[in-house]
Amino acid sequence: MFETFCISRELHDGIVGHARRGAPHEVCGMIGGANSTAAGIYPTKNPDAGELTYSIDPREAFSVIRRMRDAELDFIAVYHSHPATEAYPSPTDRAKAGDSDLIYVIVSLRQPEKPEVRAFKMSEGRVHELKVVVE
Amino acid sequence: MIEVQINGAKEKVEPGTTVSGVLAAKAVRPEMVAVEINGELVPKGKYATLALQAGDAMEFLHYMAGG
Repeated sequence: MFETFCISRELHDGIVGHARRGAPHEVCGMIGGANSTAAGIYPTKNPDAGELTYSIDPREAFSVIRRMRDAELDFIAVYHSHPATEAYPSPTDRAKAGDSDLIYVIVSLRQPEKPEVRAFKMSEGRVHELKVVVE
Repeated sequence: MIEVQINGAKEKVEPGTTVSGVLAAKAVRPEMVAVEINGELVPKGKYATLALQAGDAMEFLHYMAGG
């Protein structure tokens, strides 16, 4: 049985729009909410500025978490784009996923007219997919 | 015991508790996280020696990166 990740159409489209604006580079950001329901997206810079990797500067991440807390949101997920590959964790994603409680959202632009958003939890290299509910 | 905030929640710790001590108590691998105290990033080399003071606000989060 799938766990779910719930996100509004507006926030879903916000993530896709961020990915499209940043293509062909990978973009990234953080998602605030409660439990597994998104309530706000916080695009962040990608210091890697590359087509194959992303990272979030800890200083910016701490700043975003303070903004989430001010908005009474929890930090529940991180997102990034795969401009040309499927919305599934790459070996690098799996190797660097350190927080087993965090939801990792990936948006793929492999088919530009049909973007795909999927969500996962990862722990010690294992991948567990969540059902994305857009409402 | 002294009162501090850890990731936004009030907690009590023994005087002299270091950043490493907090992370160990929470089963967090220090090499996987960034740490901030009172808004300042803490260099990894200080985790083992930097002790929390009453009223300190410590935040830690896992590095976020991938490809």
